[in-house]
Amino acid sequence: VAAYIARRLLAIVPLLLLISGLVFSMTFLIPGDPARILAGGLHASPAQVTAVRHQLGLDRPLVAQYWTWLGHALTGNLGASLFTHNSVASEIGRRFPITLSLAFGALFVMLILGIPAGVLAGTHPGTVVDRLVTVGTSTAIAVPDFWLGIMLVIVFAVKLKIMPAIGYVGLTQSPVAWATHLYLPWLALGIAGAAPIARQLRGALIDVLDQDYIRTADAKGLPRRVIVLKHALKNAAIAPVTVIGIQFAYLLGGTVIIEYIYSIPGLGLYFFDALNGKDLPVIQGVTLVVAVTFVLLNLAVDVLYAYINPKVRLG
Amino acid sequence: MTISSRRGGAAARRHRGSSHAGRWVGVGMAAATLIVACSGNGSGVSTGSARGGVLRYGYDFSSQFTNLDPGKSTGDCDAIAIQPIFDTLVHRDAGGNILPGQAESWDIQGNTLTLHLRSGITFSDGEPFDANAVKLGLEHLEKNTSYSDLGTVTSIDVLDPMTVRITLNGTPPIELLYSLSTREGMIVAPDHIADASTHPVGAGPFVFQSFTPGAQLSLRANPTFWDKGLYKFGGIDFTQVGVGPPSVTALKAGSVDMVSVQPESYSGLKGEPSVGIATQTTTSYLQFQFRFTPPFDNLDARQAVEFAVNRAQINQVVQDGLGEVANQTFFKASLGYNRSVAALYDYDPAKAHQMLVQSGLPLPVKIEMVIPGGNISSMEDLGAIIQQELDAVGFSVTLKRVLGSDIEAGYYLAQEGNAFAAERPGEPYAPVQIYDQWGSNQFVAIWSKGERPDITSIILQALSATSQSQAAQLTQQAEAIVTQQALDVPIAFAPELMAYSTSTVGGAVHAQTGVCDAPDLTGVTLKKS
Repeated sequence: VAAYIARRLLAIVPLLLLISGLVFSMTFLIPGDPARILAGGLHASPAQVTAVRHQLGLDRPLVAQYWTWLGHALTGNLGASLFTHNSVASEIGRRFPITLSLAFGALFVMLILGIPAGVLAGTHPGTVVDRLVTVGTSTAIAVPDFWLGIMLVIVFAVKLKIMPAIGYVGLTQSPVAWATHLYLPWLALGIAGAAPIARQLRGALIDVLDQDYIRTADAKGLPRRVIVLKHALKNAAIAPVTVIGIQFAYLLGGTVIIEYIYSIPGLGLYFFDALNGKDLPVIQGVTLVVAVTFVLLNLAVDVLYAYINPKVRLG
Repeated sequence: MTISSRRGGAAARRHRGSSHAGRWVGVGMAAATLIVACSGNGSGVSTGSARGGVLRYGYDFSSQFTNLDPGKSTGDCDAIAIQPIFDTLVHRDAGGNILPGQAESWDIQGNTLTLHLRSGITFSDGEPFDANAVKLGLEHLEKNTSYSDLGTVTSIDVLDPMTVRITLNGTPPIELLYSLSTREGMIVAPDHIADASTHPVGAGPFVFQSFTPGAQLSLRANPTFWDKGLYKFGGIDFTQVGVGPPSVTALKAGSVDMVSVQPESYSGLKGEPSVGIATQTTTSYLQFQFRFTPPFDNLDARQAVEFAVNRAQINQVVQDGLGEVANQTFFKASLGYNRSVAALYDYDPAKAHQMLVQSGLPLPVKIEMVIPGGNISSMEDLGAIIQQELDAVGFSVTLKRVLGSDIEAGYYLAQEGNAFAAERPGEPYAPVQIYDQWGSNQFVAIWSKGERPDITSIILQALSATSQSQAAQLTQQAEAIVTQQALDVPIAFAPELMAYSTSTVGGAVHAQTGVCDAPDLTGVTLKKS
């Protein structure tokens, strides 16, 4: 396993180079001119715009700019925001844990809702329970997370006043306040994500529970709980694990709307604002970090496959 | 949580297994409930009260904020958060009149602006606010490339301990004077110029206490502020709230005491018993802007548009009727407002059609109208109404959507479309509002083919004026040309709305005078928790 992981990590290097090159060049296709914004907008004279462009090094050939950026990135220096002048690496370091806490909490909600729902439906196919789960998951998939987010605020913060509507408190500052501020965002993100997990698990469980070895276990008199949880669930988990991996990756890149609604100063909001202002170092830095995380998550899912199903060979 | 089953034997075992799994879910939810119950209305949940005399002001750090140091700030809306720390050299009222601030008076002579500083002011760290400090502060601000007016300063001279002379090469001194009421007039304490991004020190009514990027900026009353008693509360916590629905829900939930909201939020707030709303007309306005190429190089065609647009209806639909309906580039309280041209283009579709026929252009006159893209509901409404009204009088309008960030490249540089309908950001100084659009060598004027030597000449005189009354008279003269020549179709001035909780906020609440202007909080009082 260690050799496999080492090989995969080595293979990541050219992949990341490719990604970084694509990201760097594609940011220049985004409309808008940061040099003009920094020179004072429409009031700025062409000379002022040219001077700022030169000062930022944006008049250099693209390849030269890329190599400079890559050289710095390899040493952990992702540059500074064009507008706030803050270090991009420091800002990502500060915001990424916030987005991670949002994503992990949402993942937890997905699992505690998705797995039981999938198990219930998969072990009771065709029953009322199964139909209820199907209706529930269809609804959860159909409801946009931003709508659910606003509805949760209206019910729990505006009407009942038992949850804060906005804001974020650091975990180290106050664990209770941290959790209190994140319940609603976790639910808003987690409910929609639980649905595909439940559906995948249901389908896989129905297939697995129809296998000979399950019938054998049943005939031997093993308790149903042991059959489902110990034997069937592990084999049925491969497809849901893929979905969970994809969902988690989606959470890392897709929390922007929820961060906006709940005023959570995470990575998504940072990236969104950078896109609006064409803050090139921020766009490039965040994309690179998220891409690295995606690739590592992919690797983790592959390794998890081998643990769940020894038939899957690593190598 | 249990699951019923109608089957026997194995079914009963299934029941138990499900029940076991269900218990775990139950335990998780119970734990979550317990934490909520324990937290109650504690540190995490706001109660709606303005605790400790601190005003909680909703502010979108993510889209409005760049830097605490005015020397490094690159966003106009930074002023909302940092003006309370620094104050400005001069102040400006809603009508565009310049008022004394940290400078008590000023003189304009030729290309120089001389500021006479108010005596008795100190920075919050105890340093004297004198001519040397102002010179150092302005030199710090000059390095900011986004300040185009300060960019033309050639020298800053200390004439005596309380007098500073600024010499310019390019920008008219009166235009700089207006800029000194914005971030360009915020003086950083000399000893804190190097660390103003993290520890800003100024001579404003509040002092910096803490800043959590993207989340909260806390300011507390400055005990050494020169105008003691002007503010009637002990501090401001600028709290992150996204623009739009998040700001409304944050106010309703009591997470903030006061927040600027958009006109489209008005209908959802006006019926709320615990919410008050203050409104203010601003210099920004909904506009139909011409590109002065065929067909709009034709005066009759432009006047046809003037008569065809129902400004009151658009104001009602797009701005909930809250804006001032426009009949020229300036609103009624502005020094540039010219009464003599106020009634030239009342809504008259029949006259519009007649003007279009008179233009000699073959009907229908096909035009492409650019509107901001991104599915912005107010801009979609604006585009749809104008399209319908122009089509009704003999135009054939096609809408083209261009993203806001691409307007400069698309509409101006690439010359896409014959006209542009959007909200035009206003200028604090009236003559600039005209000069930007029709003055020689101005970006919008160049790319809309709208440079006008007659207007340029008048506005340059206005910009060189040594008194506001002289500037006003000249600006009104230029405005008459703009309206008579139908160079612009101003539709309605954009209102600013300040929503506040009536259970925590009292006194006189004012909305901002511009979307990025610092709000006037001097009349605000806080009710006890």
